[in-house]
Amino acid sequence: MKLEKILVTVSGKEADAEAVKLACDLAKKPKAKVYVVYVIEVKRSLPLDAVIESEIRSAEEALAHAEDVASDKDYEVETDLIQGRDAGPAIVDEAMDKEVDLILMGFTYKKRFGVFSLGRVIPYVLEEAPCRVLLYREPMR
Amino acid sequence: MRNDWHPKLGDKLVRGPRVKIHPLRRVLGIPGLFSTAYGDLGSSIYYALGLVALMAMGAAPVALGIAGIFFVFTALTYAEGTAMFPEAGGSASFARHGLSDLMGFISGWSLMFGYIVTISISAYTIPSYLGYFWEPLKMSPVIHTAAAMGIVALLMAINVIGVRESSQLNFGLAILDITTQLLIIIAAVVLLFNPVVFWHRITGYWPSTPDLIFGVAIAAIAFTGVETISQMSEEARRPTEKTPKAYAWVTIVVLVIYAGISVAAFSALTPSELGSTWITDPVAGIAQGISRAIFPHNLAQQAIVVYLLQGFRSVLPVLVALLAGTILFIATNAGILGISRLAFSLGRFQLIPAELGRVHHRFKTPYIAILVFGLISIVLQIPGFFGPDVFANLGGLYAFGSMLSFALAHLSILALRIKRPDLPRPFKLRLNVKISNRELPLTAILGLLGTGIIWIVVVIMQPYSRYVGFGWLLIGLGTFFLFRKVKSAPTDQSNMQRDETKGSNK
Repeated sequence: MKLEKILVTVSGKEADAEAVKLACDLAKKPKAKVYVVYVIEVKRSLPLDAVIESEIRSAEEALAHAEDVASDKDYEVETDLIQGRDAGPAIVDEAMDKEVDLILMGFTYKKRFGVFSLGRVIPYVLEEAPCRVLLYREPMR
Repeated sequence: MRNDWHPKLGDKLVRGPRVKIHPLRRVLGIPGLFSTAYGDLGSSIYYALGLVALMAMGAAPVALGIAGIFFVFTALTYAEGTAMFPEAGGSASFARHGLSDLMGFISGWSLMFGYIVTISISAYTIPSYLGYFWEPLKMSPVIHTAAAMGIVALLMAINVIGVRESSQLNFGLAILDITTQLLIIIAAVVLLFNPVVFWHRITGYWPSTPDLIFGVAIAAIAFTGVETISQMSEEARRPTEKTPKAYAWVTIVVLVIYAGISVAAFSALTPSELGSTWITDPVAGIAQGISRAIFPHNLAQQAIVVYLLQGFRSVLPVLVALLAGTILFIATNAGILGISRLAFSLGRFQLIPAELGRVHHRFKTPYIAILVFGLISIVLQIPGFFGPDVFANLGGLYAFGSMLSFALAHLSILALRIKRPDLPRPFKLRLNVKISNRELPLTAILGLLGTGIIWIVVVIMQPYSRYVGFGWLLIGLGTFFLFRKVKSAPTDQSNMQRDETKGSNK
C-alpha cells in the first residue's frame, strides 16, 4: 500500500491522541508526511472567515496536543486549522488538495437514541473520500 | 485517487494562525451561487406580482420590464464590484472602497433595512399561500399577521440555536421552483392565453402616470436578492470568474421567468383581481385560474389523459401553496442569515458597534443581531393587525432601502473608475463613456440615474416609507457618529489603510 501522505482529523476528544500515535506509527516506515487538521464549523449566520475566539482557542489546544503526542513519538506533523460550513466536505476537500493516501479519524463510542452512531462527519467522509479511510474507535466504557 | 470528485456545497477556508497565514480556500461554484441567489430572487415572484398590479394595474408587465432593465444594470455593476472585492458586504463594501467609510455605512445600513423588510414581507406572504388549506390564514388580518410574526419568531429561535441548513436542499428547491414556474407559464399560455384579452387587460386598466412611476419603483421588489451572490462571493471558488457568470445566469433566468409569469398572470386574472383578491398570493391566483380552465373531458378523449389532466387540475393549487410556503420560508430564513452576516461584517470594519455581531458562547451564532433585527421585522408587521395596507407599505419600504443601496453601488463603481482606474478588474463593464481620460460604464451611469430617480419617487409619493425610512437612516447615523466618537476613530479613514487592517485572516 502506497503511503506517502496521511491526514489525521482531530476534534479535541480523547480519541485524538491515539489517532495521532497510530498515524505516526504507520508513517514511520515509509517516512510518510502526516497532516493534522481541526475543522471549525461556522454557522451560516456568520461570514465564513469570522473569528470565533473560543473556537479558535479550543482548536489551537487540540492541535498543540497533537503536536506534543507526535513529538513524544519522535515524529513531526504539520497542523492546519480549517473553517468550513460542514466538517465532512472540508475534510474531503483538504484530502483532495493535499493528495493524501489515507485519512485517519478517531472517534469515541457513542449512542444516539439508544443506537450506536458514527455521527454526521464520518459517514460523509467514508462515502465521499477518494482515498483510503481508517477509523480508530476508543474502547467502550 | 478519484478524479471525478467535486466538493459538495459545503464551504471551507483554511485559517492559519498557528505558523503561517494560509490563503482563503473557497468551494462554492456557479450552481451554489445560482441556487442561493435564485432562492431569494425566485421567492419574490410569489408576492411582487400582486404588489405591482396594485400600483401599476394594467401596466404591471411594463413596470416589471422597466424595473428589469435597471435590474440588469444593477447586476452588471455588482458583477464588476464583486469580481474586484470578493468579500461579504456587497454594496457596503463597494462604497467603503470607492467612496468613504460613512458612505459604506449608509449603504450597509440601507441594505440592512432591505433585509429586514424582506424578512417581514416574505413571512407575511406565507400565510396567504397556506390559506389554501385553512382560509382564516389568508382572510383574517389578525390570524394572518400573528402567523407571520410567529414564523419570524420561529426562525429567530432556529437561527440563534443554529440548526444546520443544507445547501443541497437549496439547490433542489431552486430547480423545483423553476420547474413549477415554467409549468405554470406553459399551462397558462396553452390553456388561457388570448392576445385580444391580454391586450385589453393592459390597455383597459392602464394607470395614471404617477401610479405607473410608483409601480416601477415597487417593481424593484421583484428583484430582491441581487445582493446575494455578492454576499456569498467570499465563499466562491475563483470568485473573480464565477460570480460574473452566476450573475449572468441568474439575470437571464429571472427575466425569462418574470416575463412568462406576467403573461400567465394577465391570461388568468384581471389586473384588479391580481391587485385585490390575490394581492398577497398572486401565483395561487394563477394556479386557480389554470385549474378552472381545465375541462379534462373536453380536452381529451383517452381515459388516461383525462385522468392525468384531472390529477394536474387538483394537484397544481396544492403544489403552488406548499412550494410557495416552503420557498418563502427559506427566503425569510435567508434574510435573517443575510442580515446577521452583514451586521457581523459591518461590525468587523467598525461601521457599527461590534456588540451587534457578538457570538453566543454556546450556540456560536450572532444572537444579538438575529434577535434585534428579527424583532424589528416583527414590529414592521404590526400594522397588519389593523388593515391590509401593510403589504403595500412594506413594498415601499423595501424600495426605499434597496434603491438607496443600489444607487450607492453604481456610484461607488463610477468613483472607483475615477479614483483608482488601475485597480485590477477581472470583470470590467463594457460600453464606456470617456470623460477626462476616465472610462465610465454607461450601464452604471444609467443604473445610478434610474435607481436614484426611483428612490426619489418613493420618498415623494409614499409618506410611510419616507418617515420610516428616514427614521431608520437617522437612527443609524446617530449610532454611527456616537460609536465613532466613543471609539475616537475618524469617520473617514483611508480605504487603503483599512484594507490592510481588516479583521479576518484572509
